[in-house]
Amino acid sequence: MTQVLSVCDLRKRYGKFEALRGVDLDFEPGKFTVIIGPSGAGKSTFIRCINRMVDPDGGEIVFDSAHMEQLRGAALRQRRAMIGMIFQHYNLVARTNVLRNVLHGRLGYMPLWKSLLGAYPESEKRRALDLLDEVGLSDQMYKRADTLSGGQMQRVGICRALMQAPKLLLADEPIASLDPKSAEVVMEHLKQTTKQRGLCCIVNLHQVEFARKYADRIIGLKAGRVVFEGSPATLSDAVARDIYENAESRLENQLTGADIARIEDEERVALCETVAA
Amino acid sequence: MKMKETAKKIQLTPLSTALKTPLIAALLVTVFVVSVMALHLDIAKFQSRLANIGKTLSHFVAFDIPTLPKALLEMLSSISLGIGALAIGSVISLALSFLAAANTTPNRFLAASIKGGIALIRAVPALVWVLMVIASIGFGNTSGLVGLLFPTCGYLIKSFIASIEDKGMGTIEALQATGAGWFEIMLFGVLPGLLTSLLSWTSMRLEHNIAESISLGMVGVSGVGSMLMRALGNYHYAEITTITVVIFVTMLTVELAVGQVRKKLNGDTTK
Repeated sequence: MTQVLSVCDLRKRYGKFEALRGVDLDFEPGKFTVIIGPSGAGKSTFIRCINRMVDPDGGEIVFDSAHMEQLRGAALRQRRAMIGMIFQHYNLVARTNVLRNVLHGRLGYMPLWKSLLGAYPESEKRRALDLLDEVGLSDQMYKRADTLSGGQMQRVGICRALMQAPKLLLADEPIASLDPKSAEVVMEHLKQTTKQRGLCCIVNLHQVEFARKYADRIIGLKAGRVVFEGSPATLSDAVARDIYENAESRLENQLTGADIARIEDEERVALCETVAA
Repeated sequence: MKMKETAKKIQLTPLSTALKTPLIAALLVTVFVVSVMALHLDIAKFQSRLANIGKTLSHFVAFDIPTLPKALLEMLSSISLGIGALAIGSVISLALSFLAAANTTPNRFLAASIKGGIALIRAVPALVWVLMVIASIGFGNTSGLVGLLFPTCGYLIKSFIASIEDKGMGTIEALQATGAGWFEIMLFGVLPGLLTSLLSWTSMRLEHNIAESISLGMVGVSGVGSMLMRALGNYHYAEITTITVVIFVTMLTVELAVGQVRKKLNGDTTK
């Protein structure tokens, strides 16, 4: 058993809307996996189920030999600390400097009293600086996060995730808000990091070209099911087109505004991103 | 075809709306008339005494310098009461608003009960709260302070919650994903972006608190309010004027100061 993450028959519904209808996937270390699919296909839900930002309705998620779907409280937080996450909107703490934002990646490992004192060990501050150095941002360490450009913010976001020393890296549309040049830089860095550290990296993407360029393995998700799985070479144009076919109608027919409002309310996680993106 | 279209008169508003407006107007007039009648206003008495207004007003055109030091001292005690309630109230509000805001609450039922409690507190006037406190712990400044806590918290918690909910889920989610606990997420993820708006709300409340602590004089809480009540009861016109001027100048100063503070704070957020 070499896989870091094993997902079996994962299901999730929001009211009438079935976001995931039985997804079975295994992930190995050192591999860069890209999930493609139209809006509402369940990409975001899938990735968020893994670290339980979303609670699945059924199925199994085995990460590092722990059943994520059964964990609660401190045990869940402990596992989450081992999973780095990168967001479309970076989600940095705006009024806090870059260095502190990166060090937030250690919060899951620190006892409360230590983090309250802001007493990060010197070795971790050093490591944060090294990570920033890798993405060329060490000279910006005292800048406030909200003064950076989008591409820079995302690189800080990656540093925060890597600060967790994760086994698994989840990225939810990491380049959707970036210009093409910054997107290249971010994808390049993600891929490189995955190889260097032997991580397992799962990235949700919209752009098929980026998936083809960077992925070791592509997964096509459509209407909550895996419809394609293979190397970039095996993803033909026809298959790619098919993944995105008739996607709009499914969303519009099944997910009403009221559904979305309730989902946001109940899950406290906006599915809006999936719908609007 | 074209002729037909021009022949038909085009209504600016649909007929249903056009009918509704006069109906609502008629209803409002009726309500007004009924209310005035219910009050049994004595117009004749009002008119007969109208002539006295000039004479009474002339009494007020006087300033009692000897009262001034005492008035200022009492004003100080009113301000202290307002600030004291604000200090304690803001700490309570900070804790409760994080527990009640939709995006930060650890428990939905807790959030609902805090929000419900606040709605209840805000529905009852401050004076009534103070009277209730006085009824249970007796007259004095302690009652004033405790009573003033109710409207202070009512206002601050509601405003704080709005500011917190405005922040959305983004950073909260990000820190949750790092495995951080609730307290850490609040402290490192939510609070940094909120400080200025929370301070802004608190400084705004200062004005209300001082105004209310003055009005509490009416129910026996010491301070410039009770001094004013005594002067009014004894018809000491010069004293009344002096105290009123002190209150006016103080409130104006506080308002201007708070305005400056808020401008500074808000300027900081837009930067």
